[in-house]
Amino acid sequence: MSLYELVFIARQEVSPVRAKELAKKVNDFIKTKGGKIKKEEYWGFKNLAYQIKKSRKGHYIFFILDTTEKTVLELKTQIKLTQDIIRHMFLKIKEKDFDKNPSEMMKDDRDKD
Amino acid sequence: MGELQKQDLKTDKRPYNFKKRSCPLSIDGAPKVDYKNIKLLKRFISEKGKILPSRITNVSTKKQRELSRAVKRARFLALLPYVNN
Repeated sequence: MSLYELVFIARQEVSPVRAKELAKKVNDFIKTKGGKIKKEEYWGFKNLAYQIKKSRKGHYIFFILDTTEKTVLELKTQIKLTQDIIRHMFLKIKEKDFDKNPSEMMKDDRDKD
Repeated sequence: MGELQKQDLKTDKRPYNFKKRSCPLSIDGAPKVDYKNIKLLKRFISEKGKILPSRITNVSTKKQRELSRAVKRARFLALLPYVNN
């Protein structure tokens, strides 16, 4: 059971509700496989730095999961199948790198400079 | 830091270059280098979006490697542009 960071971007045509639904689907998938969600964040509907699959904006969703490697691979294939997710990234992180407080992305949203 | 160097200069005949400035990321108060922390990453990329060399930003080699890994991940996730024209 090691820690994994998952970030994925949902297309702009997708409504925020649908994006939350995608996040919930990942949630349930991990729970059924016996993993745990350490942190879940919705970074919002942000502008992409460049065009991905014809969309200029996207919903960013961020997870820190505590699961086995097998479930991560299964989740990866699931994500690849969903059309709405245009980009995803898995990262294996060490225990000590995990910090409780919200990531910088959330703080950025608060002080809109 | 500044005053100290001036005194050293006075005693010295020919001015030598200042003490190598410390790496901005290695002091203990510095924020952690992470692909999510775009505000920090933005300070180390040029206007065109390229990663600035450590000889200009005076970053230690270890931090420069972490920095480049974080910038490349941020670029993959479209948080940072590959090219900013």
